[in-house]
Amino acid sequence: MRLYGIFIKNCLIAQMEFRGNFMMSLLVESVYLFAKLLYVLVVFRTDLHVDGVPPEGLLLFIGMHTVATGIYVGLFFTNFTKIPEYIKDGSLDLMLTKPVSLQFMASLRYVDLALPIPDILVGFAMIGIGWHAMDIPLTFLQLAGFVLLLIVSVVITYCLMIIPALLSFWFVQTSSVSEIANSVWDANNFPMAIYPAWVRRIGTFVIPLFLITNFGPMFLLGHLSWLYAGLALAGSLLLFAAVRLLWKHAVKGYSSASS
Amino acid sequence: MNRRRLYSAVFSMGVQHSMEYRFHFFLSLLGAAFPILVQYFIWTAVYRNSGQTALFSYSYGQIILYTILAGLVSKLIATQFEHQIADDIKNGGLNKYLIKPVSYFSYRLISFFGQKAIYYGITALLLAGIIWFASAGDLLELQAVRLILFAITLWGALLLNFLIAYCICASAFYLHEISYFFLITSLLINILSGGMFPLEIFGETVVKGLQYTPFPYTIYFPVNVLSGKTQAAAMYQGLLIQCGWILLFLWLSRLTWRIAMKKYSAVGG
Repeated sequence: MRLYGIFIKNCLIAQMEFRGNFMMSLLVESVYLFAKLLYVLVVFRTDLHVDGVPPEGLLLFIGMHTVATGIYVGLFFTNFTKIPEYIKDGSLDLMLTKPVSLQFMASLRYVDLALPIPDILVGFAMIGIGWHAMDIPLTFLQLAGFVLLLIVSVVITYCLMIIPALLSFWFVQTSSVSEIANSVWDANNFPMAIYPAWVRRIGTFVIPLFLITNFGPMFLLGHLSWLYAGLALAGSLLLFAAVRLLWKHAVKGYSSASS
Repeated sequence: MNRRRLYSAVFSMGVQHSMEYRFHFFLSLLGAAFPILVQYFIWTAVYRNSGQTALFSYSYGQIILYTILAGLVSKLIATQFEHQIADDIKNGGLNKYLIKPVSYFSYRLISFFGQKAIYYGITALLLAGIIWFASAGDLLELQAVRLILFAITLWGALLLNFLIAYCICASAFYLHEISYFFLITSLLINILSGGMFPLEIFGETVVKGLQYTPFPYTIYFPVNVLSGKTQAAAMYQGLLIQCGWILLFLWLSRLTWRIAMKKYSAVGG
């Protein structure tokens, strides 16, 4: 954790050096956020109810998705984009020699502190509005359950979104797989109830994408018990273990490219 | 080398470039399907919940058709050369084009068309399937004139989008770090062109206002020509306006590049 703190500090110093870029990052993510908010416009203009949840309740889901997007672009996106580059230009060699876990170094070295700001702010604002509008009590248990599912969401985000980057150990060009993963990511913008049962099953049990943004709001709305929250936590830890094994397997087959 | 042979070589290079990573190319086609699928489920939920036959002046079938066509068209007209141009300007790669008897504008345009040729062919096949399916399901009234106008406006959209992006690229002469700028403009242009949602969701005033900009003529207009939402008279009027925008941006692109080029100093390359 100390090392991770140093990484964050280092990234903050680097980003503050180019303040113009920092502001541009903020602006880019704000435009992406604006695109996401168009969905909110559609929800309210059509008075959309999903599974009995009114537009204000849907803000919990869209807000959770926005927060998860903020965490993804802030903590993981830059790193996952760089992994194929490390493999292609051989800079992974240098990382292999360092006395730190290679997976930790390659997948968490960079933190973007500008990109997540608009997402986190607007996302939590939407969650707050939805929370208040749906008359959900603000108790310790509700908060604890929500925070637990937010942690589950972060773990699953890491595990799922690193997979396209890991493919670059075997294939040269993987950007289109990442593009697909990013498109699928946006499927989470709405409650999974809008999808047919077979999509929901795949998105919950095979590629647990829906756990990222659906379980938190469902818990708050009383559609999810503590048992399922616990199972989600266990599932996310199992998934992390599987990704760890996949990483080790991928690195075993790595042969230096150059440098 | 005569000009015809030169530009056929550039076109052929564009085609080869797009097929360099074939698996990647076909995966990117698949990638275009996911946002369409997501929107299909969202609109299905919206119409099922509302109980109304039309929302934002679109019936359920029309909005699904719009979503599919807009997704395909926006993928087709997407430009990806901005970073290459910015890199040429920043690192001096432009030098080699300045000293050669080749127009940089023509080189980029022909290369762009070359890169899009296979994609255009595949999109045409997909569109043929969609049109057949939609007309069989009574979602689309098949009219030869609309099909022809759609094919023409689609080429117009491709050219117009190229020219808009090429004009924006001229800013690379003034800005040092420009990748963010391209991200912002391409996303905003896609939204204002109706690539994400039909423009009607913004309200009547915004739709009217956007008619005075070039953006609807890249996605919204061609799609509505085919789907039948645009009336016959408006189709021809729209086609003329699209041609007008193409001419204006052709002139603007020459002008902006001529002015910006004066600022360019050849370094590296």
